[in-house]
Amino acid sequence: MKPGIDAPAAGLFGPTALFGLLDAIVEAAGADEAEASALVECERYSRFAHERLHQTLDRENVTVTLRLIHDGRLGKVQAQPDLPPQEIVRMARAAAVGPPLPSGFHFAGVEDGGVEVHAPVPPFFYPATAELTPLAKAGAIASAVTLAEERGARMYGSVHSTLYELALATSRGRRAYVPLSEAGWNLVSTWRSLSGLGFRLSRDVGRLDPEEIARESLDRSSPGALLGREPGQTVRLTEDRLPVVLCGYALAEAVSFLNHLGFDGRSAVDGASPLDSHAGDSLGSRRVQIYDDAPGADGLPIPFDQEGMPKRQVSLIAGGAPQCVLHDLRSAVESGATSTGHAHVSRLPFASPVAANLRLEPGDATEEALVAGIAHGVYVTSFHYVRLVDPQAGVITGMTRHGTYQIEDGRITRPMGNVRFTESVYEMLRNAEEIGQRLYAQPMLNVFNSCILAPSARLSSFKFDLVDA
Amino acid sequence: MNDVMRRALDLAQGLGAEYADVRYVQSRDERLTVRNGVPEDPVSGNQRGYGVRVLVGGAWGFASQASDDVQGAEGTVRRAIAGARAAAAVVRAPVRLAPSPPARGVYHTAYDRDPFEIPTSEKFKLLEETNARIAASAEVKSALAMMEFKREERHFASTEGSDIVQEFTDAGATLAAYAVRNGEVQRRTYPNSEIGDSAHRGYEYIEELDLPANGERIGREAVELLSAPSCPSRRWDLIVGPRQLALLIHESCGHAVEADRVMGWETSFTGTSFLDVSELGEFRYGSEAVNIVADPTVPGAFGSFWFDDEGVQARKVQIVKNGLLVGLLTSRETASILGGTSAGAMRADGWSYPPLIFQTNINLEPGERSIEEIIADTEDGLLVDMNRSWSIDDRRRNFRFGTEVGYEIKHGKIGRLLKDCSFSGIAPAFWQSCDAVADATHWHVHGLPCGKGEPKQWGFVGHGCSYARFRNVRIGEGEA
Repeated sequence: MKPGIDAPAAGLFGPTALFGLLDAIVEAAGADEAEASALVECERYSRFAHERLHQTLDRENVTVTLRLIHDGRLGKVQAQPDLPPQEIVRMARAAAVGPPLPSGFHFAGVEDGGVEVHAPVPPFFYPATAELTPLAKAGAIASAVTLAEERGARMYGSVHSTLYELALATSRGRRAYVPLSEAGWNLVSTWRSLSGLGFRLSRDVGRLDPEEIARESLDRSSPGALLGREPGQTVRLTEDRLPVVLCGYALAEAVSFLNHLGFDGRSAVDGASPLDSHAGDSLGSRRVQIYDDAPGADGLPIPFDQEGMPKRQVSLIAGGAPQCVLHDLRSAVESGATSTGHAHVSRLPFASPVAANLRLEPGDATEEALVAGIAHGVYVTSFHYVRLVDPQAGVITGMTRHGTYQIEDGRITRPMGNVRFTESVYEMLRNAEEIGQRLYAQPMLNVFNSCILAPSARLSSFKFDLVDA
Repeated sequence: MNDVMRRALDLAQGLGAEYADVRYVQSRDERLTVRNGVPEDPVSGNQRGYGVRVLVGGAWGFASQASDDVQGAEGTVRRAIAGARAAAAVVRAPVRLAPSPPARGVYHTAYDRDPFEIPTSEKFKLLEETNARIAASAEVKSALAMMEFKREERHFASTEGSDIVQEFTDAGATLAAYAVRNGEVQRRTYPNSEIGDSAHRGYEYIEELDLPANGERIGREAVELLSAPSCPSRRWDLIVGPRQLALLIHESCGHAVEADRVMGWETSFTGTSFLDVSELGEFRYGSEAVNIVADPTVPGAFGSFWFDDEGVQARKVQIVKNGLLVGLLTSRETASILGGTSAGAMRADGWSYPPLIFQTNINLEPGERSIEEIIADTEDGLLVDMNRSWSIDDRRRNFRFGTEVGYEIKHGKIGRLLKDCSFSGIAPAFWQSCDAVADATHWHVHGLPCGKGEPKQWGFVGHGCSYARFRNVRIGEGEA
């Protein structure tokens, strides 16, 4: 396949070429209802460990996915675009041997948006992100390393600029195309035994200031500036339940676990969604509002999902109560609902509708005000290797990372070692007594084009797990 | 070597590469899932493309493209060169490669029944039968049966003269039963938690797993767990079964001995290691009973190969000997820094990602006592198996694992079934508390996927182990 004249950037193909490819596949499917989609990926990463820029990656791939309904059964195949359309159709038909689909299941049609072609412009595509070169990245990395050295610290991290195209055509008349850009800086600094994090994610590289991100990382790892003095000895946590300020980096990761707690239509079909299992329960303080905001302007907005269904804003928790679940086409049919545009896009083996642009609504407190409200507690910057322990109760376990500090009399006083925690996500949200104003971004594990935006919050209580000895 | 690969290497050298390698990978895969009697989008796929790695001015560049023509490969080389030149502009520690003799050859894994020759309908029939038997009890609210197959041909060539073709045929399966009563959910899986078990084998591997019978068993056991008492929180002697032990080895040893983590190159993402290069040969990682090797030469094991993805021949490397740390998983670059030869651990996910240090088969070598003898020798303890949740810190030191099942051991005999078991510890202290490793009777290499790198890659690894006993372990919320 050759790029079309409307290709938005090097490595991309543009709607003319992609629709040409997809229309041919749909046509080859003949009388079978068909949905052909293409995901174009141009991933460009530079990763470094202080003096070593050890990885410069420029990855290009095109994956064509055909789903068709043959004799009432679903067949799906993924292939590369140079395979003849007839061969792709043959493979998909060969895979259509499972039990029959639920009646009423159809791919997206004219009624779901008809033809929708997005130009390479904001809010989905920023040319500046496409134009970021490896040399520019290397230069910015060198500056971040120099900044760290001026503080007697070391700097590690990555910068990426990634371009995607998502295109889809169905035999029912839905045709959709969008180019997407994504840029991210992940800067981890180390100073003595401490580490700090600065992380940003946006469609627009122009909104990311590497120096500001590096300074945030350094302020967290070498907290002389934070404390106004040398940080002193690291203290060890001895109490297992304390008030905390969870920085937005940490809280975002906790909130991402809502994707594993049953806020999806398939869990609803099984009677296992929080709307059933937690009906009448409080899942958060009245200040907590969480929704998936794929059409919104922040995070990584995207107009439609992998099935070509328009993305809708879906409220998951509001006023402490569970609100709605996310649907793809299948779960919508099975539960008599309509798709919310949350067909799963990921490398995970088991698919279910998923939120990919989650947002916990910010409050109005400054970071200092959140800390000032704690007489004796802990500040947690981020979490590491968090895993689900109990999906029913929403319990997760993980470690604190990149800056855990003691809070005394409303001030951060001394660094602490990283600590294990085991706590319910719902308990965290219920204990959120004050919410910060700045939104922090984090990606989601194993979910394509994903972002969680969450502010910092002061929690009246948080459960640590004192394993270390 | 095909013409495209030759042209790519020639062009890389012509553009100033001190070293270059090119990997052409083509793969075919199939994944079939039945959940609650309904198929989850059956997926089959084909992929092929080139990945080109170049060393220019002491810095790496890597580019890849899904193409198999000369024009595409040349473009890929130019992008890799541009990346390397950019990195070279700021490099302070130029890359050096430990020597590795060039190699040539063609290899393929063995199988009795080609999984791609088995009709999809036959496979689905087996999954449907299995799914139905998992869900035999009305209290099993969710049943999942999945099998997957892959064939991957990996062709590696380098400017040093290597020209290696390896073909891998893989088979794997996962079963899961979720039983629900009064809002409580209990899970049983087979053959190894939600990640399943895979091997470089053919369809005979699926047949040997006896999915219908084991499906019926896990459905029954998930329901039994609903009535089982919860595991107490306390300090207890702990026998860890092989499926849970495989993940414990993976997380607390395998990742900890990856040289890139030890050297800090993964600091910003997956993390570092509690181990230090200067401690090789001196650090007491475990007790005398603990002997761990990296062995990618085990036939049929998921982490086996003949050459890694920078052309280094697979070999067995001792990692822990009688409890002492003696080896690391290295690449040619990290081996050069350490002053040795590569352990042959550089592997990449398909054609489109650069090779990283991935675990191979990290195996806990069998001891001499049978598991029956070890249980008989346990006065008061707990036997756990099958992972349910896991978490470990960014230095691979502080961990917590939850398991699907536990069995009380009283006076040397297996007792009550217990649910909601978890244990936690500090890796070296935990391994130092290991006082018995079972013999080879139940020793098996468990194949599982492993995520690493930015952007994330999947590696395919194995962990050979049987049962092992650890003394005075923190169970649940027991005394820290």
